Amino acid sequence: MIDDHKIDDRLRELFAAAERHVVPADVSARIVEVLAHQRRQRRHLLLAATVLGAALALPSLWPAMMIVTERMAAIVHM
Amino acid sequence: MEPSDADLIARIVVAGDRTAFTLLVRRHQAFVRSLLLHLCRDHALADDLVQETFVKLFTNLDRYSGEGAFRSWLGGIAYRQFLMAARRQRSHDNKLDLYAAVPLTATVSVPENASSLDLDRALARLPEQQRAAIILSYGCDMSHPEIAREMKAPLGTVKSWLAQAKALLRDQLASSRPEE
Repeated sequence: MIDDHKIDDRLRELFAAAERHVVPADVSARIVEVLAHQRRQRRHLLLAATVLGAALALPSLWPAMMIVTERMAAIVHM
Repeated sequence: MEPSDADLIARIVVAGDRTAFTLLVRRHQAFVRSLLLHLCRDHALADDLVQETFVKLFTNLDRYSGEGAFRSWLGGIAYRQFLMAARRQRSHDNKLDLYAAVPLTATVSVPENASSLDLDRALARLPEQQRAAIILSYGCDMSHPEIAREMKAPLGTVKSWLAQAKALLRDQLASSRPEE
């Protein structure tokens, strides 16, 4: 019969062994890339929001608004 | 001397130090991947979730209060990423079960001996909440109150899941290797 302590020990050993055996691909470089991409997206969206806000107030900026709309559509589809 | 997790976190939060973040990722990526493999038993999905976990970690690192072990906190982020992926999968497949069907022969790693292979398979057969509670407890070193908070369940329920899970594991191991 397997007692509670033995189950505890075997579970701890199972997880420790899994961690030792798992060979992860080094994801650090990929994550830094993803974070940089997110930062770029945030900057673009902030710029877009700023131009849109200005364009709503000034009709002369409406052509710029068209460009911004296209850029936002591109970001959404990224 | 290797900087501690707390040192690295301080460097990331205060100065946005990418080198410190890279070190933190490299230090914990085997743990996170192993944890996610135990939860989802799918290597490709686990790899995606490892990435999502560390991206989430970077954006939420300033919320780490230093209370409790960093490893448990990181394990909590990984568990929530797994839950979100399971919910997406469930709505996509219209499945009622949060967890994908676990192939009983799938193992997380190369086991060191036959009895750990039995335990790995027995773990895969547990009902979903019991399995998650065991993984958070033994894989993430979470305390029972931490598991209760993470799984949004009363403390008594978590203790009961853990006790039931261990009883089931005992039974399955006894039937697979009666000589033990």
